[in-house]
Amino acid sequence: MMVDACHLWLAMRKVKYMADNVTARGKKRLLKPFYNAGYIKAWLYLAPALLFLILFTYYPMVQVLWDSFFLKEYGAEKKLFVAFDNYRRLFADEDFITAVKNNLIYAIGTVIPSIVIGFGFALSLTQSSRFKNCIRSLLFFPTLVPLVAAAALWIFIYFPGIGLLDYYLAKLGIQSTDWLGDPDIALYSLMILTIWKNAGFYMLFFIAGLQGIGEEYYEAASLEGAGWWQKLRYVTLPLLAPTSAFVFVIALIHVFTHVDHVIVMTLGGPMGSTNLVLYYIYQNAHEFNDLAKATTATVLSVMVLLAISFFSIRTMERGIHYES
Amino acid sequence: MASIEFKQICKSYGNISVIKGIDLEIKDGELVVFVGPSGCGKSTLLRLLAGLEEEDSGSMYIGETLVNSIAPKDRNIAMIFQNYALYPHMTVAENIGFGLKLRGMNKKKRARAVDETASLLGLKHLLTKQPRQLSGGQRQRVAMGRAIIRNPEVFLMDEPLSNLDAKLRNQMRIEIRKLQRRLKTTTIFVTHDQIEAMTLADRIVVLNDGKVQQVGAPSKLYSSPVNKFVAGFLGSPSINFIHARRTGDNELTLPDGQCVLLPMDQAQILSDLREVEIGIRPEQINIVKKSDQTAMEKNTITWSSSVSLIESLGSEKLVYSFHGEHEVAIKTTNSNGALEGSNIQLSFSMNNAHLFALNDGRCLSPVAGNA
Ligand SMILES: Nc1ncnc2c1ncn2[C@@H]1O[C@H](COP(=O)(O)OP(=O)(O)OP(=O)(O)O)[C@@H](O)[C@H]1O
Ligand SMILES: [Mg+2]
Repeated sequence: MMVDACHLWLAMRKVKYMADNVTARGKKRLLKPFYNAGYIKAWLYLAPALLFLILFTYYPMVQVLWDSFFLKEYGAEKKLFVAFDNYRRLFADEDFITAVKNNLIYAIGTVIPSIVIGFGFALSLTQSSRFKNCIRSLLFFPTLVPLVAAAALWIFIYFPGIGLLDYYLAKLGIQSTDWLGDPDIALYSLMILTIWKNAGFYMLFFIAGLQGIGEEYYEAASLEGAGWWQKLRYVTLPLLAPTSAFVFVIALIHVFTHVDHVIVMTLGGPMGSTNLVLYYIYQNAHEFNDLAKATTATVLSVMVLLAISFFSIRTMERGIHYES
Repeated sequence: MASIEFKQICKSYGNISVIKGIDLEIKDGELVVFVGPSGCGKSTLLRLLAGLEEEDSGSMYIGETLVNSIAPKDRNIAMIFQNYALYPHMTVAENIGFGLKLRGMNKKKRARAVDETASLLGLKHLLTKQPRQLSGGQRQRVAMGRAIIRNPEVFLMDEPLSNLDAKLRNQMRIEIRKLQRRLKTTTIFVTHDQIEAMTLADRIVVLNDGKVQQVGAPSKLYSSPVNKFVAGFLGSPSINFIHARRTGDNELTLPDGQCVLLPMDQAQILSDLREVEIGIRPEQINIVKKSDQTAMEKNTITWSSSVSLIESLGSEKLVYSFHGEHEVAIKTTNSNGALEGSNIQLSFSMNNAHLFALNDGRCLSPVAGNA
């Protein structure tokens, strides 16, 4: 849903861009932008998609927001208006606070490493060769595996004592660990799985971004006296800024919208140590039947995600159009 | 500043040989222009010197130093790219000062150097702008600034003016020439444009098919090309070729049956060649009045033909006509009333013509006048 919103927002930017182009080609810009032919045409193109987005995305969003101010006891006839009481209840819920904290650790601990690793892969695999294409496909493979399947796979890896990980660690003389059962470790185990799964995906974006940087920028830099590190620092990283911002948003959204592995591997436990916000919402809605609380938590997380994406895309857009 | 020397440089991509043994010496402070048809290896040669490509064999010297195994950044070369390769995320000042920054010059000194360079190039008011906010000519100048600020030993310019419109190109060409005179930095300039080549160069290097065809001052190359390729490549419109058979010791017969006697020195050089091509520059062909029979001398070729097209260049006219089936171009200030479609009488003197061997295209005769 968040991604859809981003798409729509980008599409609307395009509409404006198209319309501007159309008017620029005409002789004068007498007409107010909203009424000229370019705008009308652009909006007509956009209309069908917009209609479905309103029906299935924006209307439910508003509905959820509305619902978060009401309480409906289980079995009761009518909804009761409670103003911000649901929000008060939510913040008083220790499980929710834990889930938020976990989610923050999970976000920082997966987004940054998977982006850095993805970027590293991309750097070493930009030039095409048969060997490198092979490696690329291998690194991209985890992305193709559904998260549920990946989680099932990693249960075997993490299995205490006889799992793949412990099996090899034992050969090094390291004792067996309860990777998913120890509350101090479980969240980090999930994080490693997430990094494994996403780094290859981000690599793909970075490869595309790197291939868009003209060779002559590097050639000019080498003649100006740049070494490997300086080329990375002064040429690659700044020219890759738009790609990085984009990947960053995708990664953040990913962190808040995927909990399949929590469901498959730990069910939020042990002792809530792997509970994430989305799983908390799921639990409240379907296990504890506290729909009001789930609704309220949904509103909050959607707001956070919206804020993140708008902010990031803004900076990304302001961050320089590089065609020169 | 330094001299440059290429010795037997060869380069191939896969099994396609692109540079086929180039020997070339460029003097300290000289401005040398590489010209040649597309794909002849001009850029490749430049990039080899810059270290952006690796040669297969041969050696290159900058000054006394063998640079083959020296990294590009240590060759002390600055290069101006066709699309300038300015960094879009840096301001003009940052772009110009980039090389100094990389070499660890402190901020204050750098700012002063950038300032100096910018005023030299008339860029001072643009220092805080980004490249995309500049016009083509301004970008070109920023690229020049980035090149000259480091005071390198060699400038390499690969078609630096080809993205500019005709007027700006002329202007920048003159600026480059002035700047080079002033800085006295050894410069190699690559171009397709022969006017650029003729006007800029101390010496021109004509390249074809990965080999040096001829090296020399522009006027020298124009007046005494060593082969058919050089003769045909320089000059606009290009030189006219007329096929001829040897029918006597010092007599040639043209396809239309006309015979012409060669001046003695030309006849000697022909030795036992049977077939040649006569090359005659468009400005050496005259349009003569029909009645004017005094022009008929024994070393002169005269024929009449119809005019297919006339182009006026202002003071001069280009008249296109035929010799037999071949189109010939005539450049003249006096078209003697020729009109499109009309019949005119044309003539040129063998004293102004070049003779080329038909088999290998080498030039047999220095033009009598220049010999
Ligand atoms: N990286 C490369 N890989 C394979 N072939 C190449 C490569 N670079 C150049 N060539 C080939 O080498 C030949 C010479 O190229 P080069 O760029 O030096 O020509 P040029 O004289 O600069 O031409 P132009 O005037 O069009 O710029 C061309 O036939 C080109 O196809
Ligand atoms: Mg080239």
